[in-house]
Amino acid sequence: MDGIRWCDLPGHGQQVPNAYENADGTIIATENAEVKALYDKVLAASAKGLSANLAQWSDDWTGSFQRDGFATMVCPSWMLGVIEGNAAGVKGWDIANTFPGGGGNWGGSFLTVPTQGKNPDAAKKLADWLTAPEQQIKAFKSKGTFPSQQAALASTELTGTTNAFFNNAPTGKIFSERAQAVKVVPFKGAKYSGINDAMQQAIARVDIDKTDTAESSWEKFVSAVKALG
Amino acid sequence: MPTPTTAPANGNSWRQKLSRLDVLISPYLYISPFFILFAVLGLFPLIYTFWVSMHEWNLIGGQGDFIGFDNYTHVLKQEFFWRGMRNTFSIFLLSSVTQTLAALALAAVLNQNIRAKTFWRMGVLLPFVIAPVAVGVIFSKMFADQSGLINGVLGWFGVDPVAWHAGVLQSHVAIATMVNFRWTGYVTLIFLAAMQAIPSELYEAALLDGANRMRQFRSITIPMLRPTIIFVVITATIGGLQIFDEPRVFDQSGLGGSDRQWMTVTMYIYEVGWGAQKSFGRAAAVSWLLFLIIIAVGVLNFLITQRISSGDADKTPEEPANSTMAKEPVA
Repeated sequence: MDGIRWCDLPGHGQQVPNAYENADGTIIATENAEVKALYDKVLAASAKGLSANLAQWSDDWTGSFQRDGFATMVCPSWMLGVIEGNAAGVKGWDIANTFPGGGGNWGGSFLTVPTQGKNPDAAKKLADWLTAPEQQIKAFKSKGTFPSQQAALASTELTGTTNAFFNNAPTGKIFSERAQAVKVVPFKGAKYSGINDAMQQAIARVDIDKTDTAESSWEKFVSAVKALG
Repeated sequence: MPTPTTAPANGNSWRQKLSRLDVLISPYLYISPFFILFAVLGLFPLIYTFWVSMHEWNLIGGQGDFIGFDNYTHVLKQEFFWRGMRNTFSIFLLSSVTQTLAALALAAVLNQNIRAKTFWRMGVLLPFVIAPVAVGVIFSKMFADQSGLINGVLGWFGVDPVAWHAGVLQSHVAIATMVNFRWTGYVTLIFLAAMQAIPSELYEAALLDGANRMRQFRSITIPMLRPTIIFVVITATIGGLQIFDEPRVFDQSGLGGSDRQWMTVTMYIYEVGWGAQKSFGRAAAVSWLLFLIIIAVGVLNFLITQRISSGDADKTPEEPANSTMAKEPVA
């Protein structure tokens, strides 16, 4: 393991109910002590050399899968295919049933029914049917999309799944338990993605580009969030 | 008596009127397609964008209150707007200057009597066929900071890896390279076509006067290319200041770098309009500011290129003419 550094982007933000915005949409990102503490924690780890200093999804990051560029990464259920594709031919990947601070949700899909539609009621029924546990299990078996319904998480068809590429890890059981560990549904208002982009850039300035210190980068984050108003 | 004269006159005058109308209106009808297209595709969007820029206008919510020039004052106060300006001008200068000079040199070479002329002439245009985004994706891989081909090759010569995605100038050079890769061939062909239209007598006369290749190029080719150079510089200005595709795909987030090292003005327009702010009003205001700046720079470039070239053009006819006079008696 010597010489191989760790890659861990903050999934922690997903455990704070109101990280960037209050429930009424007012932006609190720059004054929230929890956010600042997480920011400092991630950059302190980076300063200790625990980061691989790679921008996620960049060509360097993709290439690192083949060159042992990092040792661990956060792995939501939809990441399995990404890892398997990028690390094709590399042996030794496995999944740990753990995440600091409990559970966290990194992404997912939603079905929206616009009120302007001609048949919103029928559309709601269709959305209900599509997201019912039986259909979610079918989708999981066909394409690996992980179910969101509590009832589907208990299905033996799901919990019995293993993944050969990841050392036959019981992926169904692991992700089912990780999903049940999610206790917080973070509030995401209109500016959430803009603020989150600014936060990722703030971390990248220090961790990846090294063009800023943690302090100067935080100041730029504050002004970037202000500019969103 | 008056009735028979008026009756045919009446019929005549109706025809005459029609034919007069034909003479009067037809020319306008013939040229109208351009003006109708221009009005629909050029003028209307321009004016409508200005109208949008005077309002609070949300991507989803649509038209809001009329707020005059508030969008303009807001945008002008934004740090990212000015950084976008800096990046746009820097990338524009790096790409258009090298592109024009390289194209001039290439065209001069292609204008010589070389083997497999058509092959080379087609060859320089080849990169132009590739879509800008495809160029961007491929070059972004080549310019990857750690695993890229270019840093790898530099490494063979003992050069430290260049931080293409972290440094301001480095990223601009990388993006200008993509732009040049695509456009140099196209500009070369335009120059080449103009060079071939230069009458060969001029070169023959210069040859008799003992002017070498370099002198011929400087005193005949460049001045004769003046209108073409002006055209190339103006189109490069319009295109260069609107550069979007290549910097947009230079990294995965498409925001122009963690410190907006390579975020151009058009990327800023996109971010303001379609990003978290979803403000079409502000995006329209930036668009109009960019429009005014492009006009200003275009006029400036026109004046500069005209001065430089015509300065040469004034000199050239005299000097060879004098020297011919001086030589003729000797010969």
